[in-house]
Amino acid sequence: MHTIEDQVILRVDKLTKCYRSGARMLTVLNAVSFEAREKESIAVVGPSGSGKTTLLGLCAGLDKPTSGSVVVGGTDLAGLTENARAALRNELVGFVFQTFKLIPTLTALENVMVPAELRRDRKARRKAVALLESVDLADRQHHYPVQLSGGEQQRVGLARAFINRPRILFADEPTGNLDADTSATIEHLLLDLNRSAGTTLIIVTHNLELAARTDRILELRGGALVQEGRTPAAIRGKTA
Amino acid sequence: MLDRWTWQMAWRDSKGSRRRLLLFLSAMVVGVAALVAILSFGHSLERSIDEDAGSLLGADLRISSSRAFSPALESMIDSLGGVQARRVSFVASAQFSAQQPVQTVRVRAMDAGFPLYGRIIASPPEAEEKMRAGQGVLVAQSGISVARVQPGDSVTIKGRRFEVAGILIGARVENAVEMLYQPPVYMALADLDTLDGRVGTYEVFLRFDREVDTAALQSAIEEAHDVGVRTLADVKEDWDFLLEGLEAFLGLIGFFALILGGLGVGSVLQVYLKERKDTVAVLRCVGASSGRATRIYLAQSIGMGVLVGLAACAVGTLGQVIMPLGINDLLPVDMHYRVAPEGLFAGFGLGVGATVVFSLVPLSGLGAIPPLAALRSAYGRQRFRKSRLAVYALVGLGIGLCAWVQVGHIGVAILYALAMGVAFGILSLTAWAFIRMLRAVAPRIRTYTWRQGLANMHRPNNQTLLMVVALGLGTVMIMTVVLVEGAIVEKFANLNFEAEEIPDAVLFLVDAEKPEDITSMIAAHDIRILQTDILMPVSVDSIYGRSRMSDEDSTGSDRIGFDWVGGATFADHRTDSVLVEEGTLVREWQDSTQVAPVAIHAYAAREALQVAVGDTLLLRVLDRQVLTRVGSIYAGPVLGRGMATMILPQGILESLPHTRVLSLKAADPQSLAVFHGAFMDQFPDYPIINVPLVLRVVQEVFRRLNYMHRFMSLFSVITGILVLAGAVMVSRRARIEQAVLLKTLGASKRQVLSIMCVEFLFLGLLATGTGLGLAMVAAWVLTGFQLEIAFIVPKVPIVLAATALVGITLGVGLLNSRGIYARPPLEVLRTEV
Ligand SMILES: Nc1ncnc2c1ncn2[C@@H]1O[C@H](COP(=O)(O)OP(=O)(O)O)[C@@H](O)[C@H]1O
Ligand SMILES: [Mg+2]
Repeated sequence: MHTIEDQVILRVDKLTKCYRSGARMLTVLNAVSFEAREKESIAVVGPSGSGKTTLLGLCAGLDKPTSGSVVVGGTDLAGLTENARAALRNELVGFVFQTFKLIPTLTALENVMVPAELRRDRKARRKAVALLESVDLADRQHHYPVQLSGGEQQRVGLARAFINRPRILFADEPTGNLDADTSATIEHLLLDLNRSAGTTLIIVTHNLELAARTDRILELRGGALVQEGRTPAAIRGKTA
Repeated sequence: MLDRWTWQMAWRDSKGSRRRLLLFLSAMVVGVAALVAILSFGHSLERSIDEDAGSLLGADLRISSSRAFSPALESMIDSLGGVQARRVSFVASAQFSAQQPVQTVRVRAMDAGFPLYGRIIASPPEAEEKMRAGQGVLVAQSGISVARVQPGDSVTIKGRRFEVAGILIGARVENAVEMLYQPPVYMALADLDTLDGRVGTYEVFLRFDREVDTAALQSAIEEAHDVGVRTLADVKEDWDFLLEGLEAFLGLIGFFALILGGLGVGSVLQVYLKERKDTVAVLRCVGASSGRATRIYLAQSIGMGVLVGLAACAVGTLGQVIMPLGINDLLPVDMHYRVAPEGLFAGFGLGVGATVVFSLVPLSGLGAIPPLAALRSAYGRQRFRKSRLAVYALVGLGIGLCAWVQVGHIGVAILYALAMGVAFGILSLTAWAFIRMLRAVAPRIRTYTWRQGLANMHRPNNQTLLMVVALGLGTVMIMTVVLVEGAIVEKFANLNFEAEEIPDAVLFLVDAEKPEDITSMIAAHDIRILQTDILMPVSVDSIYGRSRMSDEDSTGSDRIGFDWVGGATFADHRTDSVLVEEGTLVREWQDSTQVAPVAIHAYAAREALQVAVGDTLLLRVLDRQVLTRVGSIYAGPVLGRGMATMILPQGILESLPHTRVLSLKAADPQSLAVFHGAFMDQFPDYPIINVPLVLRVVQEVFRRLNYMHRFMSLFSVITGILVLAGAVMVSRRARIEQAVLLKTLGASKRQVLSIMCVEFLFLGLLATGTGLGLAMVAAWVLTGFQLEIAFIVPKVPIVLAATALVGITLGVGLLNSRGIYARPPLEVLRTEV
């Protein structure tokens, strides 16, 4: 049996983020603390403006907190330079965006390859082709983002997020810009990929059904964590 | 550093923008090509002259004299060996059968050997043989004076009729400008013996078949005999001097075009990279370091630089052929156009270097894009990073380097870069102050469209600063050249010819034996004598504080004035009308024991001699020395006063022999020509200047040089417009969004358009105003300190330029915004950048 310490991939401690707005200080995130263990899936919910995106950005080292700490894979982000954080992201972190954020000048395949190419992975192309197959886009490899529908673009986004086999995946409202049916497909795919890759998943969503299928729900309100609860799925996972 | 992946990404990323990028790179291409054209043209001309120096002189060495050679000189010439050719030239009037008025021509009688290098080109070709055989003459149809003369016509020179065997198309030994003034007539030397009363130039041309130290020979001959000797080295030196001036002037314009082009590339990349903000943020999200992301775009700019360099080399090499078209017949040699390696090298280097250097500023902004921008468009101001300062320093260094390549003088290059920086700073400051002011004033404006248009200039992320700087710098560069050129032309035009009544001819009667003969001839031809002046050649032996003694080894300011030769006249009723600027003009001077006061023309005093009222001068008039002090300085025309630039009081020097100068006015050009011809035949010893002809020649030369200048300026203007379009494009996105929003809210097309008009109008006014102000300061500095001429503010060009520039801004702005109103709102609001 291994210790809890081993299993923790993300540790957030008293994370606070303030913005200066004119003369006033705006506290967007207020002393948020939680941990995520390997292979765990967590849903972050809360009304718009409650700080969900801010929290995700800080966890991924996209921004610096006002106070508090983030430890990813045993490394405290506070001690890292911008470039070191980028390297860490490349190694450990995957990202799925609400607005897909494919690079418009690259084809689907090229988009998927980018993170692998950044780490000079010789098998980048092969991996990307396999991933595109797994998201059912084998025949759209050479299409540009504008030639793809929203759902297809997000599937490319998923493939890109998984190519480096991240240990933790952040998804910020990945289906927020999609219709209900497409959303369902994407959610399925996301959870499937996540499960088979054994990735920790942190997903921001307004979809309570989806949230219910994760292990745990974090609810943010006005920048503070108001509730941290087990979901039915989590309970099922434990008992199974 | 730039690994394969970086290049791959750079290539892939450029997809979809390539055509647009190429379009805007053309601004840079134009700038660099201008420089390549100048370098290549200079190189080609220099090489052509070097190769053809022999045919320019017609020999390895030429000895000339205004008298027939002495027996001593003849025997010396014979002792030199090699091949000899002879020529005798003189100016005469010629009456062509084909047309009525008499022409002034330069008769050149030559022996069979002339020229020793190069050829005479005649039409028809066999005409040369006929001329050499004494069966006719060749007549040059060089433009202005000799009208269409045909082979078979006849021409009467000094009372003898010659058949025109053919037209002289060209001969390298002829000076192009001289040919305009006095078209040459070629004849065989044997024909000369049939003409009498000749005064002219006697020349012998030598070609050596062994190595000869011509320089040593030159000084030996000049020392022993009273003759002039010219060598190939002299020819090359003269042309090098001219070429240097030409290249420096054209180079300045080329440099401006280059910097403008650089600004264009900089501002276009600014737009382009702004669009890439998302890509950079995503790349950083998925783990690319900021350096890595930036390097992708660095690779792109290097790639573009290579393209610019290659294209510029091609365009510039072609440009060197087009550039001198207007002055081809003023060029001394047939141009052998060649690809100048140094031109290509510099062009390619400048293309890559300048493109990269000018992309550094926008590139340096990439590193500052936070990865967070991928999650949510980041708002708020970007922090000013210290690395930016380094980038600006690098850009400054790059400009200095470009200038250095162009001017070849490190001090001047630094000055250019500094001037550029100052202009940049002032423009930025003006724009900043203006934005500040708008922020305060705009909200109080009543009319909505005006308020909105002005508000657009200070909205967040506005491009006012960039546009004002780009437009303003363009204005500074173009207008500085225009203003400086204007001052030069103005100076030339006003130097001598502002007299109330410009004479048609000026006649110099040097020691005239029977002046009555001449005056009666003048009267017989119905020519009016405007006035008669007394003229004596005068030079300066010593200026108090500066001495001619140190002439040989002193340079620069010590020598000022000693090369000057002018004419002096006596004070009388005519000189009373001169405009005395300083001091008092003294008419009579009895006290010969005192230093005599002299009046000096303002131009001679201030520019040539650099003396002030009170300075003591030791003048030399013929063989007499006169101690004088500058009593007054006067302004006004020189020509109307017999070309005198000094007025001496009466009471001294009247006893010396002097020249009488007659200013003549004819009823019409024809009677002038007839008189001119008759006079020269009867009194060949007296110089006569045909003023209208001189003026026309000068104007012609100016006109052709102007062509070249205009061609170069065109480069700057094209570049400027491309840059402007680039700057306007930067703000297109924001304007589309605004237009769509306004449209959704119910604004009419007219309202949307007038808002944009207000915006561009003010941008144009602000940039042009500041730019013109700076240009005037720059032109004032250049004319005053470098060219040492008075700077006159030419109102017409300034008003014209300002109108044109504001108009162009408005035009380019609106053109670039066309179709904005037609955009369907939904499509625009939905799609992201
Ligand atoms: N750069 C910023 N400056 C000031 N306030 C900001 C900035 N970025 C985000 N905010 C504020 O932080 C709050 C939380 O934003 P966000 O994390 O995007 O919320 P959510 O993703 O939960 O909708 C919002 O009220 C937003 O206005
Ligand atoms: Mg959000």
